[in-house]
Amino acid sequence: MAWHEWPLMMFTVLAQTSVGSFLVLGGILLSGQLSLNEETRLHKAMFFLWALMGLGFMASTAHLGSPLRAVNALNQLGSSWLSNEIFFGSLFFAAGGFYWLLSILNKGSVQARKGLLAAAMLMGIVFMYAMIKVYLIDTVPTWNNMFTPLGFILTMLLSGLLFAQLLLAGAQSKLTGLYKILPIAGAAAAVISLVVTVLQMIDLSSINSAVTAASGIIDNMQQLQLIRGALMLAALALWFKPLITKNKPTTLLLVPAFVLIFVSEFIARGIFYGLHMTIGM
Amino acid sequence: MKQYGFYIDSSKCTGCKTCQLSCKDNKDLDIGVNFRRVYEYAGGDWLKEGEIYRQSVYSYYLSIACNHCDQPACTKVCPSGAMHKRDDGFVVVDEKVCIGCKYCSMACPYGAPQYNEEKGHMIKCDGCYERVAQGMQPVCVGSCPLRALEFGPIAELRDKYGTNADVAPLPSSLTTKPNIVIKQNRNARPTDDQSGHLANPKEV
Amino acid sequence: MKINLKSLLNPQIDRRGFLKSSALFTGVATVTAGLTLPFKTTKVQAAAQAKPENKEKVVWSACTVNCGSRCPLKMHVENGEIKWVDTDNSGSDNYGEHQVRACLRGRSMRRRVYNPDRLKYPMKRIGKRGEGKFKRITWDEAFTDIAASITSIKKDYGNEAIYLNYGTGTLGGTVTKSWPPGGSLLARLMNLNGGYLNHYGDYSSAQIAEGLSHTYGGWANNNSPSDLENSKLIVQFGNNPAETRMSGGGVIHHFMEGKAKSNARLIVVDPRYTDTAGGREDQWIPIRPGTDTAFIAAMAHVMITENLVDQAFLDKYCVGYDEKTLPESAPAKSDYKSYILGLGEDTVEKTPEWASKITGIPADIIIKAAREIGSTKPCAVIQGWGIQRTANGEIASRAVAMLSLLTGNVGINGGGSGAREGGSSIPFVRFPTLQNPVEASIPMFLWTDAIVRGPEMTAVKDGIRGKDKLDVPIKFIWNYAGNCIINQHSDINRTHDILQDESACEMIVVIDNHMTSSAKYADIVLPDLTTSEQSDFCMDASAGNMPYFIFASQVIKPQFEAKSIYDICTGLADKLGVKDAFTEGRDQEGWLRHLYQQTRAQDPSLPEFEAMRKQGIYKRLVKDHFVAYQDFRNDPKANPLSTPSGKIEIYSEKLAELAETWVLAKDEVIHPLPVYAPNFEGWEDSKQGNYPLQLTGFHYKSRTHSTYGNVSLLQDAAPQEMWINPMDAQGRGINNGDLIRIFNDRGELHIAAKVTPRILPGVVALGEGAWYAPDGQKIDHGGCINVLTTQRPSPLAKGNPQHTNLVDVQLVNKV
Repeated sequence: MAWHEWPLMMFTVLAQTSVGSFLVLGGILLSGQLSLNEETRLHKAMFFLWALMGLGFMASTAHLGSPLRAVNALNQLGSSWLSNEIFFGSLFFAAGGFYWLLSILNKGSVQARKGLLAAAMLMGIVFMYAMIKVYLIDTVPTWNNMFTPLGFILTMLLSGLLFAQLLLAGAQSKLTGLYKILPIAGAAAAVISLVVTVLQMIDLSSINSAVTAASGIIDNMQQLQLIRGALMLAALALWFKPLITKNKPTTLLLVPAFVLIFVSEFIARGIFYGLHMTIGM
Repeated sequence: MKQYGFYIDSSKCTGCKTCQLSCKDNKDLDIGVNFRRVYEYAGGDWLKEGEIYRQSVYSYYLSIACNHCDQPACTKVCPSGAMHKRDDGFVVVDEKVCIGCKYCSMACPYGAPQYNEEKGHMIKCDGCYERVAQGMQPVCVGSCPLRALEFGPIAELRDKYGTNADVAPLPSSLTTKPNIVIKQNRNARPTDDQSGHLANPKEV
Repeated sequence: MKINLKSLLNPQIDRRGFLKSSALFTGVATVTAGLTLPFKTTKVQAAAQAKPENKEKVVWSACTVNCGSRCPLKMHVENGEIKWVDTDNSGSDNYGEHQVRACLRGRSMRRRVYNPDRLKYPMKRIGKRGEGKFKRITWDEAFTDIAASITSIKKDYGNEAIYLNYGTGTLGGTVTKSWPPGGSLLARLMNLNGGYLNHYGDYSSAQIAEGLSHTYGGWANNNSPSDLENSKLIVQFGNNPAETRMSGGGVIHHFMEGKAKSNARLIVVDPRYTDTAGGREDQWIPIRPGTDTAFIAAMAHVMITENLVDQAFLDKYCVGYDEKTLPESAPAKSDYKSYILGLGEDTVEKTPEWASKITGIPADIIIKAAREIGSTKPCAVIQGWGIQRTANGEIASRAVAMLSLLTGNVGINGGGSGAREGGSSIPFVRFPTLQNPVEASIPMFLWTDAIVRGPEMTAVKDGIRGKDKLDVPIKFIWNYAGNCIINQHSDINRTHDILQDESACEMIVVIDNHMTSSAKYADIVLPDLTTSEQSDFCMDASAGNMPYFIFASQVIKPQFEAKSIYDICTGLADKLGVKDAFTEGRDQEGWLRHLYQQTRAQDPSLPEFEAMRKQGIYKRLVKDHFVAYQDFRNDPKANPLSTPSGKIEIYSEKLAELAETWVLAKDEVIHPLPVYAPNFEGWEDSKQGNYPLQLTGFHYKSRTHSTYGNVSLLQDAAPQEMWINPMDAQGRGINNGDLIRIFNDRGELHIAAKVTPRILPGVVALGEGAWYAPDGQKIDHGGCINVLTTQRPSPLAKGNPQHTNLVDVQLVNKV
């Protein structure tokens, strides 16, 4: 585990959660299936989405040795994926945030707001793409493989979908169909995530430098993965409970479910950073 | 474009670390910060036959600083541009620009860029480019009691000593194209070797 | 015991940080409020007094420690502060007229000079010995107290009770020379005051100095390492110049370049796979410590039975190889050949199979090595001092020489004597230290015994020289630039107990740069200058065929109240009423000029004084390699050796006589031949009892003995750790880096384990010289080997068997 990378663990998981849920909610908003009141309540609930994203950005600066120079991070826009990530992350935050502000304040034309929303969603996707590219470093064999995009996208799905549902529930949305689709999609993501994890653990044994064997970097890997899987299943159980008991999902149920899935993904990200090694020393 | 490089004679290197310490003295580096690092690679087996033993033990040292690569992994990921390759080929971090995000150290397979907690940014071997511009050798090279290090235009070093830059525990030179030439120790193992181990992990 | 309550309670002293509990092993002087270290800071205290010069200047200095090399340092100074340390990088670097490049330690000299452990003022002990509690006193108080103590001890016990302890921290200096004791300024001071109890031998080479002198007569020499360019085969016995003589102008450079020229094959015999080996060897023969004599006897067996010995050489130059050349006094069949073939007293044939069980070396490897050594000429056999620093080191050192003798390699280019490397030197007039009126001399290793039972110590029991027995115990100890009061002397816990009795040894004066563990046991501590703070001529390096000397100029002003040894002795001479006789009207600079003038009078080719100061180093290129015993080889009649027979004595009548007359324990052996005898506490003993592992020390690159041991950068670069083979580690649950305890009946220390295949199973190794750092329970956490070593001396030299120890190892903590 790489606890010392907590700022990056926070940033990436929170960003993926925000973007994931924003894409879901944005899609719903664009589809026009919500009543005006629902929309207003959802916009209010989306405050927490930006709070998470803001928290993520704040955490990310804690990773910097010289946060006052943070603006220099944009110097290599185009050639450095880290610059790109920060740039598109900022655009996503700005466009989405602006859309949200206009919506809350009920300013601007609907058309313009929708355009802004669509643009923010696009920025979110590019942001996520850049974030994946940041870690596809050809000298870091434990990152430079399909498990990095898979892991990141699965976080978007698992944590993002659940968070989207939490906000929808908070907004007292009446889209009952979604209350079925989202947990099922989440469950599918969880199954994929567990399969991917097993595949990755197998793959690790084939990654070696003369100095480091990837399979040996994290001492308590099995333990961590078990905890992580258990947390994920517990979150799923809470998420599915309303479906089984045929009740409406409540925030009271979804908040702990989200906390569980977040911690689970946080541990997974800790493992990810902990697996850092290079092809050399 | 000019390009300098190091010649590292691992057959002569005794792992004495004078290169590392002379650098540290000159650059005033503290504990834990090593622009030049000396890797001890060791391996081999023992077999007990009653009271006697047979063995196949080996070890060798490799002194590595920054290899001022043609395709540096560090500059590729650097978001601020602080990590850059100069016209004279040295890969140097502009300490006034670096934000301390540490991605260069994650990417470099040679451990060259190092994060300095106190300064809040990265520091690394600059090849003593100021000395070199004055016609002097980098401090480490001139310090070597075994004369196992040489410095010069990489083309000249390659003419003199060949082009090998591959030996365990280094990664394949194809990835970043390091500007080093390595004379192998008799015990040398290939880059992807799995028989030995890094014997002094605390020291590098 | 007197305790100065007033000082104890004086808050002013407390504030200055001079009182520190000894429980904190960081040492008394680590909290030194007034000291600003010029690292990572721009403000420098020393600069406050100096006039701002701004311009960087470069001043030649030197590293004068006891590594066997000697290095010039070029100090870059700004505003009275050393900014960085360069070395000899002037002129050509072609081998033969090469630069003398300092090792990692010399390059770290700045951190010794500006070390937080620096002694700043004279101090007087106020706690128990070893507690490290001192109060600051003036120089005048210090001189007065010391002079009074000398006077009273002289009156009560005579000068024989005043001892100059072994110390080699500045043995490379001329004015500052700390060893041999008779060559130091303290000797001059004491010789003007009735003399002192001298010692002979040294912790480095006591057993070989004595042992091999019986073979070759006097100090046994060997060819210079540069002569390896003429060798076809090199055999290194326990010799590891890559870690012991690391200078770029020293043995390792000559070894490497000489070997490169001749492309000679290399066999390394050592329990550790050393850095000298490290891929440069053609064969590493790991051997159990203390069993080299058996290995050599078995090789002799192969050479004799396969007719590989140089019979003509043995007949002409040696005594006692076979019955032909045995002296008349020797019994029948007491020759070496008879011993090997099992025809002698013990009737055991020294076959490879016999030796393989003792040494751990497979018989086929013994046979192969014997054939190779016996049939490759010239062959250079060289021994380091590790083999002889053992319980039977005298015999072992003579045994190694047997390989050179059996093969007739002595006195020829590319060959050698089997002793340690020799070399050329430039004659230099040393500081005259006058005649010592006291004739008694003790083995340096027995000074603790001389405190406890001085008058019981005799010539035949304890190796007392100059008289039959000591008359008085040691009452006063001078300890200059040495750490043998505690750190480097064996069995620290015994020494500690002996020194606790303040009525036994009444006064210990330590003169040093840093608060060493020895300084903590001092009654009075005097702060000495480092080489950087004074001028001196520096020399005495093993430098092959390119000898040199260095003029070290004063680089910076004396730090704090520290004084040079010359000024310290002058101050004391004043109190003792012999100042004029001591100084002869000169100051330190005056003496340097005087000594150099005398040296130049002998050798006018040397540069003038001022030119020398400017050029810093003077090198002389000696065309011919030094070949030990070449004259003797060419004409043994005209150039006899200084042995009783004038020949090389394989059988020594003198040793036969000592074996008869000296008082020895049952398990101690003095023998006219280099015969195998198990060491006390050797491998044979490891098979019974509680301690199954043999522990050997080695010289570690982060220190020269204990000097530089407090430089944090070096500790970081080469951390103290104990080597252990995976076979031994596995059963004990120890992984690389784990914290372990090493212990025996004498003591215990905790340190990290280096689990490495580079050491023979059954053997563990610990670099000597780490600074002793005990906790309240007498457990050392610094990794100082001497909490485990014994004070029992070797039989003949009465030397330190510090590589002969049995211990066990256990896991303390996982990393």
